Amino acid sequence: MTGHRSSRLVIGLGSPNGDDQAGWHVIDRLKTQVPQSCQLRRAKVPHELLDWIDDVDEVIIVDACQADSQIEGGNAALQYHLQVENGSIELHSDSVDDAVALPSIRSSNTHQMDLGSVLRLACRLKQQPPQFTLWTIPGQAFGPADSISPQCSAEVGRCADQIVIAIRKASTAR
Amino acid sequence: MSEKRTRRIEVGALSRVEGEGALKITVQDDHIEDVQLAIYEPPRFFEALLRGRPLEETPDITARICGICPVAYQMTSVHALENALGIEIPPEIRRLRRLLYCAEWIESHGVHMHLLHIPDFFGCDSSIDLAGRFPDQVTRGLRLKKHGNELLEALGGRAVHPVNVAVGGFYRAIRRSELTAMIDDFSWGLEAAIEVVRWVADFDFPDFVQPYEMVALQHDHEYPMNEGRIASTSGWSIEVAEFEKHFQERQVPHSTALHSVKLPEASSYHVGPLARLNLNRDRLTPTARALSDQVGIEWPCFNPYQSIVARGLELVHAYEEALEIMRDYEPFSPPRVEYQPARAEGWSATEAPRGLIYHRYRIDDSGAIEFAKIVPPTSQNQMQIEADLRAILPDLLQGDDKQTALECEKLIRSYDPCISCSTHFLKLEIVRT
Repeated sequence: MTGHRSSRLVIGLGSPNGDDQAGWHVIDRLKTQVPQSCQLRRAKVPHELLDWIDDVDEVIIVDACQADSQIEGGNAALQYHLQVENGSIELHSDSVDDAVALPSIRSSNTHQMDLGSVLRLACRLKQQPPQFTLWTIPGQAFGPADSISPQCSAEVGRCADQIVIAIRKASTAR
Repeated sequence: MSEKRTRRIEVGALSRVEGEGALKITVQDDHIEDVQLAIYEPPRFFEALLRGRPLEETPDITARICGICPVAYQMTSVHALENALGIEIPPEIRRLRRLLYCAEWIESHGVHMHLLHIPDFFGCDSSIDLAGRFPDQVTRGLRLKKHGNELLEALGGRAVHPVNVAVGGFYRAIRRSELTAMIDDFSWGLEAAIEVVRWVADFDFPDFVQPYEMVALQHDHEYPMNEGRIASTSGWSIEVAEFEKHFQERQVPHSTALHSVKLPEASSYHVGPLARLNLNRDRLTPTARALSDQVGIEWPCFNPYQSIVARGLELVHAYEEALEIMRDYEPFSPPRVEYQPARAEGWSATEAPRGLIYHRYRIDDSGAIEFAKIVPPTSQNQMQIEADLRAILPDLLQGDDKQTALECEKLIRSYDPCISCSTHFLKLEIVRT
C-alpha cells in the first residue's frame, strides 16, 4: 500500500426486487456521466464493499430505503454524510435537522451483514477510512415480481443528477 | 416422591453461522433428554424448481443456492450432467475448473475463519470486536477473501453467483493476462495464509475428541475438489454412483432440512475440511503438507474445534495450487465441449468448502431436467452436530443457560454450517426438567 489515494467509488446496493433496484439503476445512469477515474460498482450485499475501499478516498453508497409517507419529504432521495464517533456511525443531512444513528443489527451471518456493521468494521480497521456519503432512495414495493415504481424511478434520476453535480464540483475544486 | 427438574435452554437464532437456525436442548434431572438443531429457514425447493428447465440453465440456477459457495453447487450440477451425457472434459478445462474451486475455497475459508470463527477463540462477540483487538490479522483475512472474490469474478464473470460456467466448460476462457495480473497478490496471499495457519494452530482448543466416521472424496493423485471416490476414515470407499445405496436423507419433525444418515445403521457422519485432510493429507501441495507436520496436531485429527487449522491448511493449498495453474495457463479454444441432449441420468460428488456435496439428475430427450436430487454438506453434518452436542453438554450444564448456549454455538460454528444452503439453521432452546 502506498498510502496514496485519489479516487472515488460509487456503490449501488440493491437486488432485482421492485424498488430495491434503485441503487443499481443509479449506477447504470452514472456510467456515461462521470469521469473514468470514478469507479462504479453494483453490490448485492454490503460486505462486498470491504473488497473495494482500500485505495479510495471517497465512497458514495446508494441504497433503497422504506418510504415513510408520514414524514414531509419522506418519498424524496436524501443525502447523508457519515460521521464515525466512538464506534457508532451518525448520519448527517443538510435536509434533516437532527443527526440519526445508522442502524446496526447484530449480524447473524455474512449473508445478512448489514451496512452499519460493514461500515463499523471498515472504520475499525482503517486508520484513515474513506469519506462515506450515503444516498437513500425511498421505495414502496420490494416484492420479487415488482417493477421499480415510477416515483422511485424519478428519485433515481434526481439522485444520479445530484451525484454527477457533486462529483464535477469536487473534480473542479481539485 | 421427588419433583422432577426440567431445564430448557434455547438459542433462538444462532449467530455467526451462514443462514438461520435454532437449537433446543431439554435436560431432565441432569440427563440430556433431547437436542434439536432446528433449521427453520423455509425450504426453497430448488430440486422442484429445476424440473422442466433446460439443462443449460442448471448451473445458473444451482449457483443461487448459496452466495458463499455457489461454485460448489454449480460445478457439482455441471459434473453430474456431463456424467449423464458422457461428455469428456479436456485437461485445460479441468484445470481452470480447479482454479475456480481454489478461488471459492480461499473466499469461503477466509470469510468463515476471520468474520465468524476466530472471534470465538478470544471471547469476542463479533468480527468488529475482533478487529479492535487484532486489526492487522482481520485486515489480512479480508485481503484473502478479496483475492478469492477477484479470482471468482475474473473466471466466473462475477464474484457472487458466477455466470461463466457451462455444461461442457466455460462460456469464455479467461485471458492469460487476467491471471498473470493476479500472481503478485496470490504470492503475497500464500505467505499470508501460512501466517494464518501458524496463528490459529496456536489457539487453545477444548479437549473434545469424538469417534467420528469422517467422509470425503479421495483421489488417486490430487487433493479432492471436483472428483474422486467417496472414502471414510473407517477404511471403506465407494464409487460416487453408489452414494444413495450408502447414504439416505430423512425428514425430522424439528427441521426444514433433511438429515442425511449413513446406512445401514442410520448413523451420523462428519464431512468438511477435517475429513478431507484426514483422508488426503498426503495429497496437499508441498508447502501445505510440510506445514501440516509443524502445527502440533497428530493426524488424523478428530477434534472438531481444530477444523480451523484444517481450513487454514486448505487456504495454503488453494493458494499454492492456484499459483501453479496461473503460472502455467495457456488460453484454449473452444472454451467448451459441444454435446447433444439425450435421455440420460448422471451423478456427481465434489467438495464444497463445508464438505461433500452430491447431485443426481435425470434428463429427458429434449434436454430438460426431469428429476434433481441435491444433498448439501450441512444436511450431512446436522445429525453429527446433534450427536456432538449430546456428548459435550454434560460438561457444559454447570454453567448458566447463556454460557451453555454460547458454548454450543461455538461447537456448531466449528462445522461452518451453511443453513441457507441446507435449507433444506440457530434459535437455542434448552428445556431443563
